[in-house]
Amino acid sequence: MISFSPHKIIFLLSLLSGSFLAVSSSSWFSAWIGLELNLMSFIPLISSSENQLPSEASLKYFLVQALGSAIIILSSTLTFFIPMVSLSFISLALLLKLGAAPLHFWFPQVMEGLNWTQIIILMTIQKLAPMFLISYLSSEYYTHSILFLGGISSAIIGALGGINQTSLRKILTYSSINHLSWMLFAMLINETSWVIYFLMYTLISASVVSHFASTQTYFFPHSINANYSPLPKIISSMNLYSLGGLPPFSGFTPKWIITQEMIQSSFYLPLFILLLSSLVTLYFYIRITLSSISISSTQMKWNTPLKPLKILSSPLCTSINLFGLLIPSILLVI
Amino acid sequence: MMWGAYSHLVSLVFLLFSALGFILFSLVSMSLSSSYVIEWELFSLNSSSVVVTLIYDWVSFLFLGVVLFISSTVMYYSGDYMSGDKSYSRFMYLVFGFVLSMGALIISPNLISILLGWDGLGLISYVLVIYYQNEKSANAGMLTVLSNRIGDVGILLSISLFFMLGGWNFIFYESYLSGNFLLLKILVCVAAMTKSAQIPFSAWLPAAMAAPIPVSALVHSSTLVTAGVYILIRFSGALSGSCVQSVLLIVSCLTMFMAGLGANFEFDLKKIIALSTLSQLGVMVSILSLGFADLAFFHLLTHALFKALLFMCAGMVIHSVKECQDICNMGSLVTCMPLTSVCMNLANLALCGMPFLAGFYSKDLILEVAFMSEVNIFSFFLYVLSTGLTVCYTFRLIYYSMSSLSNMSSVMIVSENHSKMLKGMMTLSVGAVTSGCVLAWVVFPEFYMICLSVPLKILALLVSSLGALLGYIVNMVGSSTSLKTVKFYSYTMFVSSMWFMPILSTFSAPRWSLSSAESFFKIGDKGWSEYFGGEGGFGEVMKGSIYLQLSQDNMIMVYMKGFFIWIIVVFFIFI
Repeated sequence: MISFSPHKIIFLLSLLSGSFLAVSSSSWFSAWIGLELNLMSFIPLISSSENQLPSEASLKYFLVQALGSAIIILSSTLTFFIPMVSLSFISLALLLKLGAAPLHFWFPQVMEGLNWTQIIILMTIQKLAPMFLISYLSSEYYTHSILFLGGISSAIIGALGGINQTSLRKILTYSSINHLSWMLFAMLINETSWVIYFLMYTLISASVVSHFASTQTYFFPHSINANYSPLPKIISSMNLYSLGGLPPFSGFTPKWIITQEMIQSSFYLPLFILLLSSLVTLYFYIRITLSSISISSTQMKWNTPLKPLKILSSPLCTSINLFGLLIPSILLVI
Repeated sequence: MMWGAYSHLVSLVFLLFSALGFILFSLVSMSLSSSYVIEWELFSLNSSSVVVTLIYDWVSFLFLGVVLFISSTVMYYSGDYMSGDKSYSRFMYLVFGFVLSMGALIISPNLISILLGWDGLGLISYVLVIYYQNEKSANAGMLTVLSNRIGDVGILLSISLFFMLGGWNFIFYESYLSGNFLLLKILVCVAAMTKSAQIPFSAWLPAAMAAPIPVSALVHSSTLVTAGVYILIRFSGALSGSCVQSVLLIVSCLTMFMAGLGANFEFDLKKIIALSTLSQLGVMVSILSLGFADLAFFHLLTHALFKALLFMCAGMVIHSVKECQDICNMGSLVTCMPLTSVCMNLANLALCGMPFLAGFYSKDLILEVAFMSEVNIFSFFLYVLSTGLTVCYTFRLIYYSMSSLSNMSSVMIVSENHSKMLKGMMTLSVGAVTSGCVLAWVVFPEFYMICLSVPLKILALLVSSLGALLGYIVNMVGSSTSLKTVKFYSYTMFVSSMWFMPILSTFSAPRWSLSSAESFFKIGDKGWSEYFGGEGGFGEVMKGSIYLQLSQDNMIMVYMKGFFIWIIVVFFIFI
C-alpha cells in the first residue's frame, strides 16, 4: 500500500491543495494554476525510473493533461471575445482531463502502468477538480451539447470497452468512464445529485481497489484464488456488486437518485442508454466474482498472504457497501 | 420398541378387530334396516351447501368389514414378504394410508368427500406402484396415475355439474337424476371406467403389476379397482333407464372377453392374475349395467376375498422360485409346497365357479340372472365365452405351475417355511370357502327367482367343464414352429397384448404433443429465442467491443494531434 516516504507525502499534499485551489477559484486563471499544480505533483507519484511501463504511463499522462491545460488557458482568454467557442473548448478540454469519452484514449493505457495505490488516486482525487469545473460551466447554454455527447458516449464506450478485458485495471478504467457518464448527466439536472454520486463512487471504488490491492491481483483469473476462507470472498463480491449498482447494496442509491431526476426532467432516451450500459458493466463485475463464489474447493492455486491493512479495512468496506441505502433517509433529515 | 419392525402385528390386531366389529354392525343394521347419516355443513353458497357427510348403512359396514379383513391379512403377510426390505416401514405406512383412503371413500355418499378418498387412492397407489425404484416401475406408475387422473377429472367435472341439483349428496338425489342429466351420468361412468379399468382405460392394470405382491393383493384385487364399481353401485338408482347402461354393458362385456382371451396367452404369473381381475371386473360392471346392483356388490365382496388369496399364493410361489415370474419356469409345485397349493387351488376353483365355493354363489347367480334378462345376443355370447375362457386360463395356470413336470433349474430349494405368509393365506382361505354361502344367506334373505330352460341352465356348467378340459390338455405341448400360434403370430400378438391398448395408451397418445414440444424447444427456445435474446445480444455487444478495441489501437500521439488540429481549425473558423 502507501509507503510513507517523505516525498510522496509532500506530493500528495500538493496534489490535494492543487485540487482545492482549482475548485475554489473565481477565475479561470487560478483554476488553471490549480490544475497544473495537480498535474505536476501527480507525475512524481507515478513515475519510476526502474520500469519502462510506469515511466511510459506517466509520460502519456503528462502529455495529455498538458494538452488539456493548454487548451483551457487558451480558451479562458478568449471567453470575452467568442464565448460560444471558448466555453465549448473549455468543456472539451476538461473532458479530456477527466478521461470521458470520446476523449478517453489515454486512460486505459495510463492505468495499465500504475499500481493499485496510484490507481485509487487517479480514479478519485484526479477527477475532483475537472468535475467541479465542468459543473460551474453546466448552466451555460453552449456546454449542454458537449456534456450530452460526453455522457452518452462515455456510457456506451464504458460498457462495450470493459466486456472484452481480462486486466482488472482496464476493467476499472472502463467502469470509471461509465460512472463518469452518470455524473455528467447528473450535472445537467441537479448539482446535489452528482456530488452524492461522486462521493459514493469514491468510497465504493476505493473499497473495491483496496481488496484487489491487498491480494495484489492485477488480472482477473487471479482474483478468485487468493483466499481460503469465504468471508473475504463475500466481502469482495459485495464490493463489486455495489460498484455495479445492484439494489441491496449502496451503489444503487446514487443511480436511483439520478434515475428519478432524469425521469422528472424527461430525459428518457439518455436514461435508457445509461441503464442498459450499467447493466452491461454489472455483467462484467459479476463475472469477476463468479468463479470465486461458485467453486468451493479447499485447494486453491495461489497462496498469497493478506496484507495487514486488509483486516482493518474490511469492516469499513462492508459498512460502506451495505448501509448506503439509508442515505435518502439521512437526506430527509437534512 | 421399534414400531416399524412390528407394524404388521399391530395392523393385524387393529384391523382384524375393526373388521369383525364392522361386520357385526352390518348385521345389526341389516336386521334393523337402519342407516345412519352424519352431516356437518362446511359452508353454504346461496342455495348449495357443501357438507361432509358420512353414511353408515349395511352396504358400507359390510364393505368396510371385508376391506379391513383383507388388509389385516395382507399386512400380516407382508411382514414376511417385505421383511428384507430397507424401507419396510414406509411400505407399511403407505398401505395403511391406502386403507384409510378406501375407508374414506366407502363411508362418503357426498361427491366432494368421495373425492378425498378417490384422489387418495390414486395417489397412494401410484406411490406403491413405484415402490421398487426401477424404470419399469416408473413407467407403470406413470401409466397408472395418469389413467386414474382421467377419472379424477370426470369426478371434478361432475362436482361442478352438481350445482344444478343444489347439493352434493348423490345418495339422496337418485330419483331426481332421471331425465336431462345425461352429461353427469356419462362423467360418473367415465370416472368409474378408469378406476375399474374398463376397455379404453384398461392398460394400467396389467402394467401396475410392477408393484410388490402385497400391494397387488390389496390394491389391485379388492380395493382400488372396486372403487369404480362401488361408485356405480351407489349411483345405480340414477343410472337406471338411461342410455348409459347400454354403453356400460357393451364395454364391460368386451372387457370381460378381452381379458379372458388375453390371459390364455400370457406367461407372466402376475399378469395372468391381473387379467383375471380385469375379467371379473367386467362381470361386475356388466351385471350392474343390467340393473342388479346388489348382485354386483355380492360378487365384489366374494371376488375380493378369493382374488386376494390368489395373489398371496402367487406371492408365496414367486418368493420360492427366486422371484422368477414366468410360469414356463415353474412346475410340480404341488409336491414341494402342499399348503400353498391347497390355498391356490381353493382360490382358483372359487374363481371358476366350482359348486359351493365362494365364487359359485355369486357368479352362477349372475349368469342365470343375466340369461334371464333381456340381453342382446352379442353380450350373451360374450358372457358364455368369457365363462369358458376363465376356466380355461385357470386350469392352464394350474397345469403350468403345479401339476406339470418341473421346469425349474437343476438345483432348486423350494419351501414354504414362512409362517406369517401361511397364516395370512389360511385366514383368507376360510373366507374364500365360506364367504359365498354366508353372504348369500345374509344379504339375500329372499332369493332371486330363476326360471330357465334346461339348455340355458346347464350352459354355464357345460362351458366351464369344456374350458377346463381345453385349458388343461391344449397346454401339454412343446414349442415348435408347427404350432398354430407361431404360424398366425400376428393374431396371437393382437390377442395377447390386450388388443394393443397399452401401446395406444402410452405411445400414440402423447406422440403429437411430445414431437411438437421438441420442435418448439429446438427451433424456439434454443434457436430464435437465443438469437433475439441472450446469445445474440452477447454477440452484438462483443462485436461492438471488438470494434472499439480496434479503433483504439493507435498511438496516443495520433489522437492528441487530431484533437489539437481540430481545435485550431475550429478556432480559426470562428475568428
